[in-house]
Amino acid sequence: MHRINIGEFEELVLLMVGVLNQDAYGVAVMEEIEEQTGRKINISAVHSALRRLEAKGYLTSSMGGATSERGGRRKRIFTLTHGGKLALDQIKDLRTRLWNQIPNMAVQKGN
Amino acid sequence: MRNRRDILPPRLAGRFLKWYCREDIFEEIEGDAQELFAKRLKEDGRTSATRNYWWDVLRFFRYSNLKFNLLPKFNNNPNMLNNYILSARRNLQKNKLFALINIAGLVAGISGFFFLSILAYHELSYDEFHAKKDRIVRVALDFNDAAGNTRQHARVGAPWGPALNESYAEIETYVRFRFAFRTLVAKGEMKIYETDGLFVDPAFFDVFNFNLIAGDKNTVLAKPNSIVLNQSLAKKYFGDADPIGQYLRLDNQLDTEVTGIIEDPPGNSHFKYDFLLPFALHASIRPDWMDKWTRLNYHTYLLLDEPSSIAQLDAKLPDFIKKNMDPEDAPLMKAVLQPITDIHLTSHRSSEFEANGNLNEVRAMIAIACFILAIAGFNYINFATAKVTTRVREVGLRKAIGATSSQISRQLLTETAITTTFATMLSILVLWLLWPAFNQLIAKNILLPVSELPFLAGALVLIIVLTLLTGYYPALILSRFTASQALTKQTNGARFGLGMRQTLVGLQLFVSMLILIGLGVVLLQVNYIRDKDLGFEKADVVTIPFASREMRNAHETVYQQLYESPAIISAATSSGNLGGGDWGTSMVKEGGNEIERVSTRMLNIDYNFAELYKLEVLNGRTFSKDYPSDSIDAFVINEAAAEVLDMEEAVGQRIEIPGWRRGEVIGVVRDFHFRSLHHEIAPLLMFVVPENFQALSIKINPNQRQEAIAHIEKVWNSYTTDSPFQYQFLEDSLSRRYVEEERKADIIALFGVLAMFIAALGLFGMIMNSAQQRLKEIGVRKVLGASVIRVTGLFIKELGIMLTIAAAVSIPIGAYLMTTWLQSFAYRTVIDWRVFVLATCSVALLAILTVGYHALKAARTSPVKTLRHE
Repeated sequence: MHRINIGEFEELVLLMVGVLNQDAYGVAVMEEIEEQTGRKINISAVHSALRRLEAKGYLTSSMGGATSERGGRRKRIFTLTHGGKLALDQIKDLRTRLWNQIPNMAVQKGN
Repeated sequence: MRNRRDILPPRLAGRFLKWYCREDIFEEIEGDAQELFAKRLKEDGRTSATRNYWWDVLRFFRYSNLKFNLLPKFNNNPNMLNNYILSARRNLQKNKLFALINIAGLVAGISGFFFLSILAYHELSYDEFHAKKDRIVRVALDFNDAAGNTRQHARVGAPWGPALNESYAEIETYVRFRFAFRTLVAKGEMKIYETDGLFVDPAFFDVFNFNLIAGDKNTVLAKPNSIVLNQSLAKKYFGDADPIGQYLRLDNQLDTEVTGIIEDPPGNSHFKYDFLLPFALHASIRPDWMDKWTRLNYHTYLLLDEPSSIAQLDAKLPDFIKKNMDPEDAPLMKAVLQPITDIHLTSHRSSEFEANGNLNEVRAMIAIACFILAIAGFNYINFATAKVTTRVREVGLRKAIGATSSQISRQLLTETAITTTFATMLSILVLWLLWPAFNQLIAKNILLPVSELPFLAGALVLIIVLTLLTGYYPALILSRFTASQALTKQTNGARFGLGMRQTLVGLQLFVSMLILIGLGVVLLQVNYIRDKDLGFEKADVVTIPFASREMRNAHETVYQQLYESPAIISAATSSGNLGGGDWGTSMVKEGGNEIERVSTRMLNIDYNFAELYKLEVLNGRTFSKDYPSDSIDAFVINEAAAEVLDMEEAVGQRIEIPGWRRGEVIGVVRDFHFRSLHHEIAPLLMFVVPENFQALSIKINPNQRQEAIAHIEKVWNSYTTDSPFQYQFLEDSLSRRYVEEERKADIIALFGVLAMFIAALGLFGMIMNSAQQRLKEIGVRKVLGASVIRVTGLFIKELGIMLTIAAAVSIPIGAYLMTTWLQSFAYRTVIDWRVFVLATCSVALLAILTVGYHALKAARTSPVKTLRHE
């Protein structure tokens, strides 16, 4: 099994790219994360994470359309690769497997 | 309607982004930033949007987004690296003279840097080896007098240590040192005068970190007649035999048992010793000194319970003085605590163990080290930039077959790295070869740290820094050419970087002049000190101590015995030799009160002394046997003393040394340098007290040296059978006082010459190159009818402008720097204007000769050769 080495924030970004489907670019990912998790993040962090994920082969990208509010600049649209999809699956499987192994006893009621 | 500017993001931030951002990702980054700006403009208003835009732009400023290649990436194909190395080697081989100058300059610079930084490191490492270094302090004493002078003593009286220890809980223990001056150490027939002995308290081994090789630290100094030798001395007296339990006889009277062997003190200890004796022994010899608070003979060290106690204890010292000192003296005294690691570089009190270092000098050393390295680095940049011309074709070809700019940079940086690594390794070799000579020059014994980790790490850092600093600019210039620019005929690079290169040559000239000015002034000062008239005749005087009390008491008879030989001209005695045999006290006009006391130096001399040394009497007379009272109540003083006592007509007036002696001034002599030239001439009182004579001065006939010495030895041997004869020429012992200065001057001269050498190499290389680059221009000029002389003249005129600018800048700066340096001498030379002329002229000569040679060579080349196309 191939080892998945991505951090927590990268995982979040990867998931968001999946969620946004064909519409994932920097600002959209950032706003989606803010909306879904309530975390305040900086756009530059999103860009770095996207580029790292692309270098690792989980994402692929192409230049998309320009809008006037972007000053005529095009967007870079990111999409999940097959590897990216597999990585998300593996992470999810791992989580589920581990989750199922936690005996009920161990989860104490919060007081 | 809203202004269009209001809906656009801040221009400056946008420009900044464009400046730093990598081109391939600029579009998406700017797009996202602008989109966010537009949204925030609608929601939060302009101020907030602008602020956030700035913030985003700043946050995008991260390494992965930068367009500049700060660090070359060497992670590609090893074959490529091999190719870089190959082409580097070929390039070095192609122009051997150039490569030689280049590498020689770097080696000189790097070795100089290593030498100086090791020396500076050594100076900074003094006493750092004591495990308890931050808790050890020395007690020193400042003593003021009525004239407002402060005498700074390194030592205090014997009771200080024990009393401090008893009074204050924060003091764990104390150690007192007393010099054991000139001790005759005898083992059977082997008798040698040893000078570096110390009487120490038993806590010595608890406070300081010197390893005992043999013996138990708790008992080695327990018996009053025990002695601890250092390794060298043990070897000197006992060879390979075991010295423990053996006996040594000191000064023909005391048998001491060797109880321990201690390692030699390391070079970076501020005190050195050959042997240690128990302090109790000293106390039994001088019981009367043990309760004298102001007999300042004892270096006293305290071990505190924790580092922070130093300040606490310091605050309590005024009370301590008030409680224990004479009420009259107490207000004039101030005790000072000196942390042991500060002593070597900051303490310059009377009676230090050795001439201490100087923090400013260490700083200067570090500055010179960096300076030398910088000139060498400059040379490298110069050469590499100059070589742009010859390499531009190569770059073009590489680019044409697909090399990127960054690959070209990488290739050139690899070349620089190879050169600097090679030069550094050569430098270490040079260091290793010259190290013994260097140690001799600085009169220290520093081990070359080539195998130590910090040194190796330092060398590695040096290679990397040097490579980046010197390789970056040339690489940047060369890699900028596009293939078509580089391969077309028009670009031969001749115009390229010309301004830069002229600046660098100018800088080179400036630096060379500055170095020469510095060197010139240092040599002037050294000569000044060496040749200064001391105010007395020092030539052909032999000094010896008295062999015994009998010999001293019979010194008049000794004179007669000496005069039996025609080789002896005259003889005199005194309490000590000139150049350090005086000591201090305070004096006052007779009847004056305490407040008017001023400090003075004293010298105890006999009737022949002034005559032998040709002291010049200004008023009155010197001591004479015709006046019996001269040995009871007469003083001869110097001009400085007359001035400080405010006596216009000193002769006939009476002065007193409170608590000791009062008398009449019978004569005033012209000021003479009875101490070394580090001190201004102080007030001096001379008198005759025959019981305290210590030293014999014998003036001999310089043509009969051997007979004279032989005769003196004969007289010596008639007074003693068990002390070997030892003599000194006064001139030698006086000049030994300036050994430190001469040594420093030697070091400065050495590194000045080194820097000069590097600068000259640089100049030579630069000029050679710029002449070569202008071959075509010269060809055109010649075709149009210019003569060889005119063409050469053209070069020299250009150089002349740069020389003038360099001189105009370097002379005031040099004058300022060297005047500041001279301030540290009590007696200093004036800076001769000829130094500046000489410095400027030598640099100009060197430059003109080089330029002339190359220009001539270029000018005489047939234009056909230089102008022809392939």
